[in-house]
Amino acid sequence: MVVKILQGYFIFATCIMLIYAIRHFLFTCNRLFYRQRVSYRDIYDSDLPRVTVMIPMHNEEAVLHNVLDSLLNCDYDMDKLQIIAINDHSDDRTPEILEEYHSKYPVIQPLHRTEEGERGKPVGLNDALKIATGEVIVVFDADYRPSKNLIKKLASAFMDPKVGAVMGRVIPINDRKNILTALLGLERTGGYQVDQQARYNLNLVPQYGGTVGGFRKSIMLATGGFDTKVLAEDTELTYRIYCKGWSVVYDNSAECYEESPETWDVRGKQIRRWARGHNEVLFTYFFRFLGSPNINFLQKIDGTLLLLVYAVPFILMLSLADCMILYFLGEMNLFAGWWIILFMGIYNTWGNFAPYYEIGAGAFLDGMTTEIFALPHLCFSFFFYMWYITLGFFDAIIDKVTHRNVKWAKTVRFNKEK
Amino acid sequence: MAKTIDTQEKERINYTRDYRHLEKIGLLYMLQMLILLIPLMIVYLCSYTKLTYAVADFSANIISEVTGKATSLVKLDYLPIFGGVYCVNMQGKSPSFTFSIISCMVSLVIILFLSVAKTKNKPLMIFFTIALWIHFASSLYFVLFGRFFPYSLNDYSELYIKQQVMVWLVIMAVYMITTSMIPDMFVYRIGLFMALMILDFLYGVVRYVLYMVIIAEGSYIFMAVLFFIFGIMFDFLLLVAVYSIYIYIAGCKYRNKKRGDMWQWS
Repeated sequence: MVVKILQGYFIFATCIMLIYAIRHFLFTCNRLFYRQRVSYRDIYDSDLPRVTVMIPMHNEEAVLHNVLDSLLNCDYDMDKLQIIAINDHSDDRTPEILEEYHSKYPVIQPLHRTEEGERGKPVGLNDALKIATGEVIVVFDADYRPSKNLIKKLASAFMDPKVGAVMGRVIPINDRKNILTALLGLERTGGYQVDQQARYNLNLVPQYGGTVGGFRKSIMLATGGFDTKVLAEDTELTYRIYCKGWSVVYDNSAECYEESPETWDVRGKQIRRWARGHNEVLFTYFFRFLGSPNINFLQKIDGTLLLLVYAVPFILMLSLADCMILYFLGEMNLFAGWWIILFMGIYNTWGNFAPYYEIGAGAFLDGMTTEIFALPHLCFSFFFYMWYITLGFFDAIIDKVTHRNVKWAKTVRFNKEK
Repeated sequence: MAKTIDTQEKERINYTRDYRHLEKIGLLYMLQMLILLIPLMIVYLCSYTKLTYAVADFSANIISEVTGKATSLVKLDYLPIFGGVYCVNMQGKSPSFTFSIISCMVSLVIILFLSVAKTKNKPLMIFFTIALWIHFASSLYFVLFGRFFPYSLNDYSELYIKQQVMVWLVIMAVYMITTSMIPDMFVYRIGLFMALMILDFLYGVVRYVLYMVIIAEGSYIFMAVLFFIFGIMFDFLLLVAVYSIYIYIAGCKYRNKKRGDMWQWS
């Protein structure tokens, strides 16, 4: 009986991997061979909405000038732009630098959060929502560098009344720094150029990513603002928007440059936090999303697979333990059949985020050449992700069971340019 | 003012790449490649018995020479219609109680060392840590239940060969499917395909000999880690390495005018 259960679990894990492999294969074919769904560039001449840009900051003195200078250089009508720099309990020179910017450029409005109480991105965004004057809210991280026409591209999507949020494309600026940043560059390419674009093409569930994206303020206010107990406020907002009958638009041409983590320790903490937050959303939205009358069948399938994306590495980790037990129980013959080959063949895609052929297609479309040689290293980073995401999964379970408060943590910055 | 993306980074991905794609004819091309692949796979399936005979015969000679132990070839049933496989049969070795204890302790010490070591390449460290935990579990098993170990070296040998036959087949198919997504690269695809299959074949044979020697001389205690961690994952690593060369060539080729004209824009 025990052996049967263990064998059953092994087959279950293999099926999960197979489903993700097929999903990504379809996305890759769609992105490579089919007409692409462009964003709303054709309605540039329309009267674009007033936009509030929010930039949460905690000790960002080293990088904040990049995002602010880029925004000041953008081609959006400054009379329709408000930039709120949220200083969240910084103890470096961030407040002073923001005041300097404010004195020179009144469009930049610092919001100093210094009082005792809750900290973190969602809380800061909620405070900023109270003073925001824009109909559309666009959020950037402090280390991002928006392109000149990014705001215009993002804002124009909201001329469509069905659109609840819009997401742009994130491109690492430091991808030639080391093997980690090179891998992150490739992952971003697969994730945005292929995965997000294909999901948008197919009218599935493109994800709002929390930065380089915007949403309607009215939706956020009507649904109670950001949930301060959730670490992945972006994923939560995506599912909230779909459940309420709105859609998310992906604009592949709305590019923004980010600084990727440059050390594995920092990346490990980041991915663990994402896994924790994403799985919290999974526990909250799994049945709510499936039961929503506002979402079609294919969107439900895609959205559910997207929700499960940070649970799958845990399923894989468990299946490794499962295989070990079967091995010591004398069931090694199971692995001689097709199942193990399928398992390994699918597992060779190294993770359910973006398998190698999806990344390869993205790199090809982006015109990359030597950068692609980092691809085989995905094999080892797969174990790294499996480890940290599993830890994040357990964090989320403990959060759920004990109702403990989540603590927001900032990703370490590496840019020391100014 | 800091440099903006207009003067610095923007040139890296230009606007024309945002929505470009290939013609749908690529799908037809993929289908043609798959049709070509089927006879290739049939030829392989019809000849794997002879192939495994050659591998087993060659390996048996080397293993005998290295270990000084007697080896023999045995034919086992495998896929119906296509036939059986040959593999090497030889006597394995169980670890002693003392060796198992030492192996346990050494694994733990290295795990502890890795957990505090400052390393720049954390993925490799985690990979080796998982490998060491598996080896620790195997060592502990032999300390506690050594006499119940359910396998012989012949079981491992059989499993290895059967798995390797499937891996070669799957790699053949996966390579063809994933590379045929980019059309007009026939010569490079076939050239790299041959290189991949030759390399993977050689790698599979060398690894077979090496692992048989390790288990025959070192004992069954190493079987788990060799099987789970240093097994067929590396065949797929080779596949991805060759695939990345293919994409590199495709990226360069599609920059020139002739292939550049194949891009479509929405």
